[in-house]
Amino acid sequence: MSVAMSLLAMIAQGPRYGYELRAEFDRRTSARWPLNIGQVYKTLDRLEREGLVEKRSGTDAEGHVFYTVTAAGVAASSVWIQQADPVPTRARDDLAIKVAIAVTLPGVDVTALLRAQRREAITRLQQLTHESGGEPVRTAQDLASRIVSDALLIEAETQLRWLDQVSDRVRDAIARGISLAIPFDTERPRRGRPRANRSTDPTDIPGGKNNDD
Amino acid sequence: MTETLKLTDVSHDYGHGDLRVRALDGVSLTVRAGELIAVMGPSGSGKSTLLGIAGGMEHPSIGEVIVDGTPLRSLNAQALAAVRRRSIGFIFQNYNLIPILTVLENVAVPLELDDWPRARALKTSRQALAEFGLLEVADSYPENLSGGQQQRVAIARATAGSPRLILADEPTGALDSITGESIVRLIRERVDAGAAAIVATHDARLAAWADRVLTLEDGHLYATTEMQR
Ligand SMILES: Nc1ncnc2c1ncn2[C@@H]1O[C@H](COP(=O)(O)OP(=O)(O)O)[C@@H](O)[C@H]1O
Ligand SMILES: [Mg+2]
Repeated sequence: MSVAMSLLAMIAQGPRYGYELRAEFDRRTSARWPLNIGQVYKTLDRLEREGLVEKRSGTDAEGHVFYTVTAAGVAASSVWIQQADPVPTRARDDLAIKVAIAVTLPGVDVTALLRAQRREAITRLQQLTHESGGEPVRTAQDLASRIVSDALLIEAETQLRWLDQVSDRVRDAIARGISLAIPFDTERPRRGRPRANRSTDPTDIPGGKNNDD
Repeated sequence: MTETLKLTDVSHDYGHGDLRVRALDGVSLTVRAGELIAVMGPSGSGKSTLLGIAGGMEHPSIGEVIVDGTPLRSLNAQALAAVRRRSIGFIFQNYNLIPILTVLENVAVPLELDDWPRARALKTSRQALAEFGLLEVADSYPENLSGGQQQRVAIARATAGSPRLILADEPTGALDSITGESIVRLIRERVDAGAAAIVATHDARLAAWADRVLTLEDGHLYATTEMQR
């Protein structure tokens, strides 16, 4: 989606050809997610089928085929570039699941897990910092490059903050005498969904079809 | 590579009896010339204590601190103060500039304390300010500078005498992230020019500039990452 709309937004500013679009996309995103030319042409075909761009008949002296924007393409491009994207919500956070399980199972060394994960996150941050060079922004090109690398850096940083928070919460819980392990329920659930009184699922009405038999 | 700082089995307690707090527990650490170490860890984990002991501000309860080959415990108060002035540059979160002195005079203070003739101290300080792009504020007073400028002055002051060891305690704690990055870059440059440095920080973005990241937890130091550069 963002690739197609990026190409469309560039065509909306004037006729462009495939290799040019690929080079401009890579330049503006620091080749962080490089496009191959096949992908560019497939995307252009799609934009054409959707009536957002048109292929010009004929080529220039070098044989480039140019694409131009349609009125519908201008409208679509301006909506995309001005509209907020939804904040991503992960369907599942695998690491959060792992840590929650590790903390609440008896006899698991959570500290070791948290340390290992911190190491991963810091190593990632070091790699990204090293790649981005951390040079101050002097040109629009530098700016584009930092915009992309900041997005990745902040993601790794956020994971570290979360890990710090987990450590603080675990420490605090221990200090307040809370036993971390959740004991296994001696009354084992039978077939079907968990019992309704434990559920936060509004469809899980007592006496309803999801209840224990 | 030269071992600029070596801590061996350092433990440190504050207070006595029931009120005793073990701020550092069996810490060993070697920092070489050209090496930037980041120390992370929650507040109260012992970061400032570690820097204070590494910089000879106080002796540890147990263990040995060697700066540039000299065991600090072997020195009398006067000799220790001289090592602190000549070999070590301190950088703090709150800049610690002297409000009644100009920027230039602030930078010159440690040099003058080290008995440099005033004219030479001022000349060297002016050069240091020029390197940090601060010449135009040389005659201003600290209160008229932004936080980022004040911290750059503090780094100029800490490094004007080319100390072999730089110790920075949350140097970017009061700064926005872009200014913070420019500050850590200055420290990185000094290290690349041959100094050794320890930076205590909460900020993982800054820690990522280090050659090694260490973490303190309740006075225990452990390695988090090694040599990524
Ligand atoms: N001067 C002091 N007197 C008594 N306790 C202190 C003193 N300085 C620090 N501490 C204690 O030592 C521990 C480590 O503190 P500190 O080195 O300041 O940690 P950090 O810099 O990581 O926040 C904390 O428990 C703190 O309360
Ligand atoms: Mg501190």
